[in-house]
Amino acid sequence: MSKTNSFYDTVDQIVTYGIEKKILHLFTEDVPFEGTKIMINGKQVLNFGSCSYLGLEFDERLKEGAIKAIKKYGTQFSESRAYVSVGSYKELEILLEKIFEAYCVITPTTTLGHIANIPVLVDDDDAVIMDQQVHNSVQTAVQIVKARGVHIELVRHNRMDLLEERIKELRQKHKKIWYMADGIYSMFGDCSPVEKIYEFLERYPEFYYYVDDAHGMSIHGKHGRGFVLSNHRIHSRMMMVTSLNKAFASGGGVMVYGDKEWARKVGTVGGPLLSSGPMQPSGIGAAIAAAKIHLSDEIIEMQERLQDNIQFTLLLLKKYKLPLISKAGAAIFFVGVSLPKLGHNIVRRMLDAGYYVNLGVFPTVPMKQTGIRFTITRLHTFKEIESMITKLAEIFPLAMVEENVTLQDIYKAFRIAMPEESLLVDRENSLIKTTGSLTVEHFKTIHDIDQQIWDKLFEGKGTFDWGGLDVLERAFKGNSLPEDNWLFDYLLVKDLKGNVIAATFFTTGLWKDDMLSPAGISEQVEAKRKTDSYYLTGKVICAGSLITEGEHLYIDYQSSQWKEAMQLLIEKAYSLQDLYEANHIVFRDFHGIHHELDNLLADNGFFRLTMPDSHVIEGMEWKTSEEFYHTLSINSRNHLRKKVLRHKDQFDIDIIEGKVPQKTLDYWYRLYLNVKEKGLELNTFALPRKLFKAISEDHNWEVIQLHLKDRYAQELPCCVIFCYKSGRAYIPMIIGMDYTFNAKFGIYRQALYQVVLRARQLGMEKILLGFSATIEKKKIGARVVPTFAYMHARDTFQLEVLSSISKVSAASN
Amino acid sequence: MINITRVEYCRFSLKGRLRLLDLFGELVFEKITPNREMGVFKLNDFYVAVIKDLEMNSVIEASPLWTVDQLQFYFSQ
Repeated sequence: MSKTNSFYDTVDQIVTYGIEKKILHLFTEDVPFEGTKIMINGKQVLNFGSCSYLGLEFDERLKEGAIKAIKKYGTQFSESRAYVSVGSYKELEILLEKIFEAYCVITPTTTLGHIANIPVLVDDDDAVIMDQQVHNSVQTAVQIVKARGVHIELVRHNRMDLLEERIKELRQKHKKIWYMADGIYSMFGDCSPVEKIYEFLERYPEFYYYVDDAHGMSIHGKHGRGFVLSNHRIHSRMMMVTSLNKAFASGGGVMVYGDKEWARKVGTVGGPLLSSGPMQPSGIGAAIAAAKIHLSDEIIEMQERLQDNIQFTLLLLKKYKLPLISKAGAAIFFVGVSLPKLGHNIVRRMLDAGYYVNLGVFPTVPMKQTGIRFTITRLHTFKEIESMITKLAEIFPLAMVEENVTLQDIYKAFRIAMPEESLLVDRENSLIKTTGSLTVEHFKTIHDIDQQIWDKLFEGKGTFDWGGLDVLERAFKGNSLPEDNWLFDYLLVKDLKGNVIAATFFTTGLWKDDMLSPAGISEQVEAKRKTDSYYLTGKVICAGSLITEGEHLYIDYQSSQWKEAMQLLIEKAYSLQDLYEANHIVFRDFHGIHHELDNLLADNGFFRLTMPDSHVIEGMEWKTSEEFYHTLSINSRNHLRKKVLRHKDQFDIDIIEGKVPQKTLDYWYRLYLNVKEKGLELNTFALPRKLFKAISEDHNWEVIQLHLKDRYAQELPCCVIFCYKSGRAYIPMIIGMDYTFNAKFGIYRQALYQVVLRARQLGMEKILLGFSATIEKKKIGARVVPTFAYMHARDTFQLEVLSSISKVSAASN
Repeated sequence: MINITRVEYCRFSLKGRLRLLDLFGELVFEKITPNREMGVFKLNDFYVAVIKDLEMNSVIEASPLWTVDQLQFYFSQ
């Protein structure tokens, strides 16, 4: 599920929350620092967040190199490399070619390196397969070739079996198949299976390897040439980009080629090398000094000391049985915490205790795979590492209790078997206390819930009062298609007095992942679904359903326990997610943002999505259509007069309640499909026929039917609107139309107008008009209601595939 | 104290081993000959023999002892 800008809104929400908690966007104090200590917020802390793994940035030779270069060439040399470069550039390239024993081109950053490389190396008829977790900078550069129509795919992280399957298939159509991956992944610190990839290079002549080894640079291999090249020479069908900005400690990037012609060509025509500025003198000066160290035996000692620190860290993590998520190949460690709230809690406590560690949080990792990410450098002493990990082990269970997260939850979130015994579990058990002042009541059918209790909470909010849900339960079971069968779960959280503090109902069913994507994206996905009906679909647990609109979550914000109640609801949703093996959980249709609820959901691994606006007509005190006319703005009156009232007499209007013949139902269904097929803004599966039958048999529903009269008269109606009556709210939920004369007579507008008149006739107080057609709905007096949803994705692979489609669409637009 | 096995200890470089012994090792035996200084440390539940070359003034070995015979060998020197 995605929507334009939603991703950025979500990231903004998460990062802003981290800033508010004072663990992101921090600054060091304006005082000199050296080694492992930095000053943050007036306090000296041990830094466990640096990617300068060898600590070379404090080496006097690098500092001198930078100073000398500035004195020699100034603070910058502002000319494109296509014209002229400072002489030291050549010297550095020669040194780097010695380090890598391959052809090298320097670039100001690795990101620019990818942007220079990928469009030049990848031809239009090539195929690109990206590892799901390949660095964002590679994915960004791939968008450029995607816009040219290059075939792009994602493959699940490090799944060499799936990669080989794809190579075998794609080699039939493509001369070159590029696999793009990282050497060492920047978040979890795990490694690419390089041996297997080299096997593929030998086995498949069409296979090309493009790798970003930024986090492996300097700390592995002869002369510090990196993790990927630590056991192999560069292959002739291989290209590596690596960073001089991490353990190399000088800034910049270097592109390493197995093919001399590639180096020449990218150096000649690679976009940023033609038109962007070069790496600057200070960086070049430092890099030359760093390169000389890499070419000396000194690098071996440095690497050894770092490796000792890594081994020591692993011993301590094992000692305290902290949930280390991957076998570290670099100096990056990731201790899983599952939910962001636990991550925030621990990072904050660590900072207070004098240790700076990173929060690994969405979007760099999936929402429920938040973790404490920390790095170890050569400069750390064993004592410093020991004190930090001991503190982490001390804090961990305390924070777990505070945030009500168990070790089991953590291992489950990362799909790792929990170790049999754990020191932490013992401590946790001794600390956890249950308050037990709230209870969750869970029902599988609305019939087990007292209608008065339910309707007190939800009547007038949508088509999900007791009666509405009864219809849905009957319609969405026993159908032949999987998407037409839903599971229902009703949850009520009550306090000791029996007051409902929070309540909702969940439906679990198959959704299209592109439901909220722009129509252009859905068009592409639908094209694939012609041969693979369930492509990019997945099981979703939704608070609400695909057919209901409105605020499906009841919270008594007056209660001092509403947050605890929500917490229980969320935990229940997680357990249902496990039970039903659903990928996503969605809480939908929030009208506006409640700041505290927003934070609570973010803490629990949910991100906010912007949904299409909803619409409501309120203040229906008017008595006649004339009075209604005068409630509208001047523009809307003009519109109503010219586009609606002018054609009003062309229509016969009928209100149909109760059973209708099957033939009528079939026709209505055809009209519904006309509308469904036309609009992809909210891309869902078509509703089942059975729903229409259930609706026609239910006294809360009625159908407004429009017939054209006179010479345009047809035997069959041109429009039907299925409307639900819930308390004093009127809810037109489904529309079906014959578009033949829509342009001529404004059938849709007429339908909206008739809905308004009918609602008034029934004495309704408001009309819930739902999503889409904002302009038309505003013109008949509707208020626009910004609407949001919250989503938790267990596995983001399908969303990433969808996002990659979105990006190419955006790029080609 | 640190939980470490002999195999894990062997993953450390010579300098790393000395850093470990410095922090967690307990010297149980020491002997100086004209050329060498020998020490046996207890680390967790095993012993480590450290040999320093006095002429070069550097430690040349810090290896774990795998058998009782090896341990006795050092004590009998």
